[in-house]
Amino acid sequence: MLNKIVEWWQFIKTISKRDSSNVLFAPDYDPVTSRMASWASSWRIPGVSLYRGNEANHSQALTLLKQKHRSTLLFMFLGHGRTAGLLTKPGIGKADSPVGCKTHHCLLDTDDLTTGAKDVHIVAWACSVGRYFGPKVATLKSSGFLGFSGEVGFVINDIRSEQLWSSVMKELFQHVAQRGYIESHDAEWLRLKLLELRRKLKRGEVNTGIFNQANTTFLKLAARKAYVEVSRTK
Amino acid sequence: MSTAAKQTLDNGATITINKEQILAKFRRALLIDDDIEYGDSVRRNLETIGFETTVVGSLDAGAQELSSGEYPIVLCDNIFEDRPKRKGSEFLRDETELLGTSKAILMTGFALQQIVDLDLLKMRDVKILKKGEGHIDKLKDMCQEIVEDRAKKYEKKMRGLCEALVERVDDETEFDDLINDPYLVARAKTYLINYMKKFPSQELEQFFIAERAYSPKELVEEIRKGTKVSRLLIDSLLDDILEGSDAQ
Repeated sequence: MLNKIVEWWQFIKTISKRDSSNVLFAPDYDPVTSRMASWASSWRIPGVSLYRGNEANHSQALTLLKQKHRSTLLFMFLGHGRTAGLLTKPGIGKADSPVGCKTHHCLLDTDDLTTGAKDVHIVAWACSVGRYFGPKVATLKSSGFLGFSGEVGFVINDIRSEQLWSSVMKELFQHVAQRGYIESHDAEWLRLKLLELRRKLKRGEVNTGIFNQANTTFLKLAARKAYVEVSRTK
Repeated sequence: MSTAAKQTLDNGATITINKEQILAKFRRALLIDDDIEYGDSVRRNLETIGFETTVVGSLDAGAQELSSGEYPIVLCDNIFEDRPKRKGSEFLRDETELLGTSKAILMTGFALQQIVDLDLLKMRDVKILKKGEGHIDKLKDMCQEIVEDRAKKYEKKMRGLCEALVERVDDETEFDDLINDPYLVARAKTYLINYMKKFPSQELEQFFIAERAYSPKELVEEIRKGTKVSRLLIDSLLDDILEGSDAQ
């Protein structure tokens, strides 16, 4: 009897491991995404598969979204975003989406959410996605969105500032990846993290030199725009 | 014929407000309709009464457009051929934040039963226009009415602000949005320009803001021109400085 229970337990563990997938998409095609993609490569978050550069394409994202044999998809994204969707490199995105333009193509838009997908949790460190795309993610069954409801900014090409932003982004993705899904208090968690870092900068515990003012302003801006929406249907 | 109106204050100062300029500011519309030919016809018709109309073919494109520009009037079709899963009425019902202060007109060629939450939309002052014979003329009238109403309110607000500024009564400015305080904006602009000039490398792209990276030199240009990026920076800076360091 005990053997049976152990067998069942092992089986359930195997199934749940195979079924859930945590992925991080980091397109790499302009100075900003190139910096962010290199940070993402250096993180090596346990249990998270990285799709960098050309791997961060529309067809790959859609395949993951439509995948039948999974329980929860934690789709994390680091790059450019717009109100109605996530963006990627021109040529590997969805060409006919109204979200794209000459310099960015669409990685995912709300049209992609209507494929019967469920159990989708999207975390996006990208501008404005929380204004329209995010709430639409949360209309799917057992799903959630964590991101920003407006434009955000940060400093690049300065070692100390990049360390600061890379560390806070890594902390966010690690925090959500450990759990595998988004909860309604995650925006508050992120807000507090950003403001704590901002306080450290103000007190001089963290120093980014001449960029201190820019970084405190950007941290505050991101804290103001942190946004979460979790589906009410299970 | 000039439409400028002059008002003399108690202290002798005068305020001149150009009504035509205010009306022109509000003669902008966004049409969300997947029928391209119809969209073009509406655009040309509204052009005859001085409107500048942007036409987009899907609700997603409409959302994108609303997030990047201000439209005093939003015209939205109800049924979308290629997107039966979402109706225009649902869009107008749900996207209140994106719509902001825009006045919405829902246009439908089908029965009113096709409209989701009709009562709620009416309560929110969404106007319903049935497509059919003579509806373009009705649409023109509705648009004119909306613009005149908004222009009247705007003029009143402008007059209030001008009076407060002329009389130097700081606490009478009724704007809760920091970016509308001209004194603070001017100070923030100067501060930001001086700050940007301090960076040793003026050409290196170091600031990522809203979709792209800027060098300090480019940002100085943006601030001088008063672009969207500049407004975002100024608003954030003022918010950062004016609130306490521990404030949320």
